[in-house]
Amino acid sequence: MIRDLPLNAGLFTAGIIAIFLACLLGSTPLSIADVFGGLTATGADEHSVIIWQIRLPRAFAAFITGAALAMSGAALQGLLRNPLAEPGVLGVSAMSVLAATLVLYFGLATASSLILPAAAIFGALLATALLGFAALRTGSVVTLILIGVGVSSFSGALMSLLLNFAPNPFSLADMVNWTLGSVANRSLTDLAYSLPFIVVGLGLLLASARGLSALTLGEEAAAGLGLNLMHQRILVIVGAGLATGGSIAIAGAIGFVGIITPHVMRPLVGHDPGRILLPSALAGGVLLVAADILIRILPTYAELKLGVVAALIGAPAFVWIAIQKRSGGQS
Amino acid sequence: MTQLSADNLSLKAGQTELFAKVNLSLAPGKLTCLIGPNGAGKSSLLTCLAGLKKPATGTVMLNGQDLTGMSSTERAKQLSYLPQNRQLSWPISVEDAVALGRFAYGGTPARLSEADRIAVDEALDICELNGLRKRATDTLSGGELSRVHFARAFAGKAPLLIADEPLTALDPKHQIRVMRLMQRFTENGGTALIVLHDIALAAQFADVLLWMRFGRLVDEGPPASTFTEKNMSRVFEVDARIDNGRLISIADA
Repeated sequence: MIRDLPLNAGLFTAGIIAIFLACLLGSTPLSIADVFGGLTATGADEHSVIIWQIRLPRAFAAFITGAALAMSGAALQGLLRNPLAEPGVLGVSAMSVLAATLVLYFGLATASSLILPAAAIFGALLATALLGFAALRTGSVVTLILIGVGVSSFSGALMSLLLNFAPNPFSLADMVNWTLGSVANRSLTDLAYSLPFIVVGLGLLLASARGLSALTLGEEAAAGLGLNLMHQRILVIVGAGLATGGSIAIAGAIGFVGIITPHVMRPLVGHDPGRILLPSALAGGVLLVAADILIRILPTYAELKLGVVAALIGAPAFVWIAIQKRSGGQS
Repeated sequence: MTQLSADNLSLKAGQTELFAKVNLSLAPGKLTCLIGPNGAGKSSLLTCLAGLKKPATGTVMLNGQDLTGMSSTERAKQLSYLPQNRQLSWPISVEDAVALGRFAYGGTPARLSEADRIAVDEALDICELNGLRKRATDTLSGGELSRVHFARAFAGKAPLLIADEPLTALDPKHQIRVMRLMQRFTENGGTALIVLHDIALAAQFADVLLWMRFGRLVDEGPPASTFTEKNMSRVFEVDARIDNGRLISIADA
């Protein structure tokens, strides 16, 4: 990755700046000195509380979620050799959210803080495994995306059923909030439960980078180059499942980050599906932190949800990318 | 010199037999052309010989080692394979595409060792792609793209090359250019096996012809002795007139 050092260093710096701005901006005005004082716990106690218990966890949550979703998207696109692949489009997010909502519905989440992340990850892995099996049977990416649409719709239908049978307005609000996607009111402890899964997931995806580059030539040629296709599929499927599931345990469903970020990064890394992974993760993190700052400072009468904003911007972008995709490409 | 041989090889797709009872031994340092009508099982045979599909029966030996027992990178260092599909999924640059040929040695477009870099430069040179290094692969003509694929195969430095219809969709000039590349490869000690549909070109350039029909090898030998009207008739079901090793005309049988 030496070749992309300037790009990655730039994006990393952007990430630090974005997180710092997330600490700086908000309903309680803080000066730059206040933020430093709060961060180092040398300033006023209230500043420390605002920074460490409210703004920093929220910014971290946004960054980690964005990074996990963007790298998962980039890796799935590389594996399926299609720029429209993404955890949301392929039904991975929907299945994960469904599993998490089930846990909320039955009130299991209160038993242990690990249950919600575990359920979200289980749902995501189930969906990626399904896609993996489907990919073995069909060579067509269009079919896979249609399967994803089916999985998404079915998960959505089951979600509606759960909402329909919600025992009381409170649990209904709980579940709806979950599906909208947000990084508000997360504590560093909440993050700590999901982070290990995400880190392992992203590690697996990074390990798949060389194979993704090779897959540019198609599966047959990549196998001829010495790539073990089965290992490659497992790496990406488990990696994307862990990372997506972990991010959904933190933030609920946030769509389209995984499709827009790699799309923007692609020309910057010479369209190489292996080199794109790390820059996508960093840029995805920056994107969600920036979007979350915007949501917080926009004067709306109800709290704007990050997932709603992401979908409002992301869905038209998805359509745009689909139209741009040259018809001569692979299907 | 590289030795590749197959013994009693067969492959099935479900109940359908793709090919069977194939025995062959590639002539080291020679260009062997596998020819036969559509559906004869040529591509299936190539994927088996390249170690990408496990045969139903029989074994493929590469330099005295059973191909199915070799690791994929170990195999790739000795054998490079060019499938029919030349479409690239992403518009990467020419030099990055050629750099993928270093995969088995741990190289990637993002990180190339000194040895990788030298091999890539040599391959670009041989295939006359130096002027196109930075070009995006989706802006290339068919002829240029096929040279990119040969360059990435040569970059791996494997002594054995297996290519499936490398001349498809090329004009006569580029077909000959690619055949000269193959010739040069074998003259430098490489062993090559390619599937060709252009029988005249195969007869002109091949050292050995393998004739395949209905999943069986039916004849094998240098063009001088096997490129005959009889073989053209029983393998391709056409009336060919061959004069002095040259194809004069082909007509419906």
